[in-house]
Amino acid sequence: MAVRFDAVGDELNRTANISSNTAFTYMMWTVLDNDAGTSTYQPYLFGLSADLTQGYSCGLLSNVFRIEVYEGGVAVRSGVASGRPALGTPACIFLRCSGTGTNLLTGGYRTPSQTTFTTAAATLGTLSPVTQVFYAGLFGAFWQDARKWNIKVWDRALSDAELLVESYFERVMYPSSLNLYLPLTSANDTADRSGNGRNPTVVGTLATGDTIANLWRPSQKIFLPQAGVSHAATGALVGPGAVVAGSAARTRQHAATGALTGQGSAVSGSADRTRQHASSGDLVGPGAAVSGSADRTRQHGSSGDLVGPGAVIVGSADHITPGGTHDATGALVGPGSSVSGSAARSRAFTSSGALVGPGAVVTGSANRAVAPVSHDATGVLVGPGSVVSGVAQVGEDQTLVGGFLWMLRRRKAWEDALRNVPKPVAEVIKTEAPKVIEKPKAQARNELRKALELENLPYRAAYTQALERLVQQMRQEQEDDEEEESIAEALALLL
Amino acid sequence: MATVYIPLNPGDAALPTTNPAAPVQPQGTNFPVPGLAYDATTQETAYFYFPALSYGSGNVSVEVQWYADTATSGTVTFGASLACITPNTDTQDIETKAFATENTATDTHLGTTAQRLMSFTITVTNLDSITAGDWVALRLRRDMSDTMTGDAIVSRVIVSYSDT
Repeated sequence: MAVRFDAVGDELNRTANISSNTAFTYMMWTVLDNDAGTSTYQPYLFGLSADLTQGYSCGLLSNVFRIEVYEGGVAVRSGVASGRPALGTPACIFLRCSGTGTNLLTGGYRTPSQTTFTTAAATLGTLSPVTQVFYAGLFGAFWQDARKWNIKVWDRALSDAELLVESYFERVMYPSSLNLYLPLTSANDTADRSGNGRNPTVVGTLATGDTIANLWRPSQKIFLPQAGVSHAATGALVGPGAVVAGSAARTRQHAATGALTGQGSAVSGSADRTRQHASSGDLVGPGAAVSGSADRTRQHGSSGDLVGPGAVIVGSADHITPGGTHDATGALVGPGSSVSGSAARSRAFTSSGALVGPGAVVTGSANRAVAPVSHDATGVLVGPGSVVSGVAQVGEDQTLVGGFLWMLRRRKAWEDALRNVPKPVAEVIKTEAPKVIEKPKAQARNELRKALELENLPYRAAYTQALERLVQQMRQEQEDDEEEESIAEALALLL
Repeated sequence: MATVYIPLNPGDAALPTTNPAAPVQPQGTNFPVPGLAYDATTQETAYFYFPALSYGSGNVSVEVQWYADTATSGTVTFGASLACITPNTDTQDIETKAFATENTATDTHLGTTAQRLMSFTITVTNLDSITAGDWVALRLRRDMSDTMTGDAIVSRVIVSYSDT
């Protein structure tokens, strides 16, 4: 943007802190909006002594750029350049003095298409001090009609190299001996930005105009971390109690000791570890809820559960490591957690953890499958007290883990305990039974009632009886397990 | 591990009063092309300033994107130097701070078109003890030992380093 001086009464001048007659540089960008004709001198800027009879200027006359020196009220010396900025063409104008000798007053113009200034030179001579400089104003009977911006003034003569640089940059590049800096970005911005506080005097009504010439400014800095790199994270990807509406994915190689999703967090999208990683943390932390899938799909050495205790997975929870192996010591589905989809370890692995931990509920299938890969699992397929609504199987060519048959028997016993109970109610009872196994009957009944209310299910006395049968079955199973454990310990001592 | 990139355009340059790389902006057929023109016979210089945010370790790469004003062959050699100051730690006077030893690299005009855009990278190994958060000055100048005639016009400089 620029300031428009529209020929009638618009003026911009300074009457204090004027540069000396022997050392100054004026520079401005300007574009002429109306041409007064070849016979009228149209100054871009001019400086005059107190009595208005001596001074200097640069401007247009006879269709060329020129500089003029005044004594006794008339132009006594001048220098003429080759050509001029055309009407409507922006140009950088300068007027410079480095003494009073021959050719020490120079001026010139550079349009955007030019790489150097076109110049004129003259002798300044010895003049009375200039006490008023007009960057726009009445010269004789002439008011210029032009837009002006980025006026810079120095109390020294800039070198040719400095002039060229300053003409490209919006900011002041060489502030040594800076006298004045007027950006003139709008009619409301005529203040001096040099730090010297030399605001010019404004006369008339200025307007804002376009600049149509771009001066160089510093660019916005962008810092771009490159994708595809690994990171070392010791913290959870999603912290405890956090809620992520989208997906929470560690998609790059990393060494993480924290859970992917922290305790109690909720992830509406998927929570994936899709790259090779060494992780000791759970994929889904205890109590977390993942609406999408929770997958470990890459080779990894993990000691944590895929789904931590008490977590809820609406989608699938899979170790599906295509083409890779993993050593997992943790359960696929931790104790007390709920997986609505499948919970599958479908690749070769060495695992000491249960596929489905104690008390977990898997609505879909819980499989160790995918022959012909083998696995050595010392953990049970389905842990004590857990419920698998779908198929729980070990795939082909596998050696059944000891206890698998009793697992099937136990499942049958549960089904018998819950005979004649509607399926939704049976699910509630299965969830409540482990919680009330040590509680008095009355308390167990009340808790069942509350659990049914939460699910908008009616309460019946028969449901309490079913709960009691299941609890009794579970207690028996616990006793059996403890007895077996005692026997095993005794045998170990003997052996 | 990530790489931090800092693009520096001609408008970001600070230019010395003596022998500055000359600003140029040919209007072009469709758009103006800003650049810093480095002379073939006079060593010219430009400076850039940036904070060493997230600097981790390793060398600093200075990629120079350039084109020739008129030539279609020959080599260009540019040198990059760093001056690094750690605020609150270094007692060095910033106005008298010296650059570390310059590192150079040479590129060869790929031919075919005089003003085709080319790039090469200067690996700065003299790091002046750069650390994360440092105030850094980069000096870029053309080496007079190269063979390409005419100006080498730098259109962009990209500084990069590792954050680990």
